[in-house]
Amino acid sequence: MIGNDYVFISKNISATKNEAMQATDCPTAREAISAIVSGNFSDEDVCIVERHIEICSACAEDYNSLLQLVEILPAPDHDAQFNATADAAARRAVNVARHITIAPARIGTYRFGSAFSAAAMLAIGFGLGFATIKHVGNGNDLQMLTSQANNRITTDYIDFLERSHLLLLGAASCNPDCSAQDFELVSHQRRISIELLIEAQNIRKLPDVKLRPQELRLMENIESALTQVAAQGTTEKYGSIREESDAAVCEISRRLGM
Amino acid sequence: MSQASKQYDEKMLIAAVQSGNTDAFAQLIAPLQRRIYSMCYDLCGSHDDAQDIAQEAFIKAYKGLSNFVGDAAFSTWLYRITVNSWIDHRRRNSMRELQSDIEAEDLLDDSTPKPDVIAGATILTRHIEEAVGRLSPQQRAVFVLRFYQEFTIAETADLLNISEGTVKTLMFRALKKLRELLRPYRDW
Repeated sequence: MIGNDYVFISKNISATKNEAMQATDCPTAREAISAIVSGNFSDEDVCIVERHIEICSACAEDYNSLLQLVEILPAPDHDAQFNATADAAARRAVNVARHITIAPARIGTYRFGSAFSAAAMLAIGFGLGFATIKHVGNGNDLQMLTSQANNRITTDYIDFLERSHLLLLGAASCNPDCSAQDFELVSHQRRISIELLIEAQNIRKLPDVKLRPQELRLMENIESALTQVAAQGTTEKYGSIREESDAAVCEISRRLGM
Repeated sequence: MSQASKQYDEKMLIAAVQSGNTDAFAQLIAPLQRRIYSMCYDLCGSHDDAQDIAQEAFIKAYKGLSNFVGDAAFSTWLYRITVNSWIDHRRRNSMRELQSDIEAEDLLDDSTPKPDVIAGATILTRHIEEAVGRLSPQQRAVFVLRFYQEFTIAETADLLNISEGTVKTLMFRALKKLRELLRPYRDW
């Protein structure tokens, strides 16, 4: 009888083990271990792991060591700097957003035109109607506009810039604090608006905008051009001033290897 | 403010943004911008890149708001955009990432001083950061979203557009890899 009982019990244990093994194979157990050690688990996960580690020493070892591991994982160090930096990123995004319409029919159109710049435009007398600048390109423009040229230069990117007369954007966008300026500088490169250059002067005066030395030199050239235009009161010399600014742009582009 | 009130305000703000009000957009993202930024930082490990990714995510969100139908919370929608922006960013900077991986490997090789030489929690934290940086993109995303950003497994799966099972598997692999990378500094 004892022998029979042993066989019966042994068969039962084997059946239970097989059942447990089938129900909690290693991949399933690993998922449950993962859930438990990450602290987002169900009763079923616990059941699966408890049953499985009784019969699988490898998973038992993993389970115990991973529990120890998560104990030493530090909370991410999100210090006070995060607030300021997060603010800056959001502010820059909003600045860019101000130049974009989100209605589907108008995607790719950038709107400018503060009262100040409009007045300046009229005073200068260009009379070209700069309130809206139709941007050439496609839906990828925005990505292009927000790219950091110094580490994302590809042949396609350069082609795009050249096609769209946006080479200058690369120079401006090297400065991560100058998103709003991109538009002014691009606008200038495309030779369609001087109002935005005046706006760029104002942006430069903001304390949180840091320009690189070469960008400062470009801005000085632009300011010089603006001064001359203002002194002239006409657009007669704009062509030569534009060439001067473009030369500065080319110089910057060359320096940046674009 | 009650949840219902918040949702109402959010809807109002979204409607305002959809009609072209950028100030409303600034208000809409204000409560989320720190979370978005910290998520970007945890995912990429660099303040500069985090700023770029966060900015790109915000702009994409602004641009895409006209298509936002509200079937998910705005925050969830924005988190998803952020993760996608990070994936795009990684793709664009794959070469630079490769270089970073090599540098990280240098930092974690056998020549790295052991804890008995440079003891301290700060050092261990640095080793953990470096080890997290060496996870595959998918493993890192899952690890960061669950452990650092404290999204649930279901939310993580949703954000990454993968199944919960895949999240768990990736997380298991991530933890095992971390354990191996940190083995020189701990006994387990």
